[in-house]
Amino acid sequence: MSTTTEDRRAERNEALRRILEPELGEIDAKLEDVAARMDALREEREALRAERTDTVAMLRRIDPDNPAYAATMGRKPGQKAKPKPGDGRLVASMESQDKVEEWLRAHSDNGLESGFYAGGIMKHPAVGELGLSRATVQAALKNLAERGILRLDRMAVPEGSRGSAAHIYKLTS
Amino acid sequence: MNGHRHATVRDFRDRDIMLKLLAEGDEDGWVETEAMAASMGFSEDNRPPAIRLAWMRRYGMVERDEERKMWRLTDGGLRVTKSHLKAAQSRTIETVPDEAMVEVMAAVLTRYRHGEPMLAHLLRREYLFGTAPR
Repeated sequence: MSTTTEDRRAERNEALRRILEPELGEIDAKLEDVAARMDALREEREALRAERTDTVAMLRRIDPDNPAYAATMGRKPGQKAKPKPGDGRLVASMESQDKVEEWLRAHSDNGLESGFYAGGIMKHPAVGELGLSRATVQAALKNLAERGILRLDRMAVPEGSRGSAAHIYKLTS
Repeated sequence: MNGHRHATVRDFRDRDIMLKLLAEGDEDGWVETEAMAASMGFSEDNRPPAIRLAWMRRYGMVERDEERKMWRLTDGGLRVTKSHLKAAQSRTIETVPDEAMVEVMAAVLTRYRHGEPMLAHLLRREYLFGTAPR
């Protein structure tokens, strides 16, 4: 490609950038508005759900034999509720978080250089020193990352695993 | 393979990507898009990290060398990655009662309104990351 063509392309890109920059700003602002509206709608949904629960409970007290008000939460009678995996919230105690942080620092040069995730930690030869379950380790990693002690390095399917991508963390400092 | 196809602010916090750039950069801090994408687990498709870095450039956190298609931290971005809470400061925050955190938030928001635009974006986006549904 000749220099002239390159120059023309660079000029065209620059011109496009100048034209599109304000539009991108507007799109950004609109996206934020949409996100804010979604948050507001989520809150409204939660409030309506809470109201529905209260109303159904009240109706159940008035007419306890009515199957329409049975405590099935929209499920068919006899159908079991699906388990909620921790309601999506992973919380480890500060003690567990401190324990995991201490363990990570002690073994940072011992197979953890390229990052770590809960499943990998559970396979580490020194995992016995931790004495925590995989779920607790997973929650502790997430909480330590929220506190900035760990940083999310990448999302990748770990070697030898056929599962989905794991959050691979590293110590921040 | 990477089953996760996004690299948005809800997936990676800005500071994590900035620390990653710092770790992956050459002696002048530059990293190629492909190298950065691969190191974030996006070796098959570098668009998500590239789009993300483009947004971070708009906010002043990173800069780009158009010719070499490389990225590095801006001076401001570099300052953020080098900045850490001192142990005493960290302990002080941890001992603040939950109810009093509202006042801490007010102080944060004052910095948001009156501070550097890049830091304001970082604070806003940190809130987005922290409050994203998990």
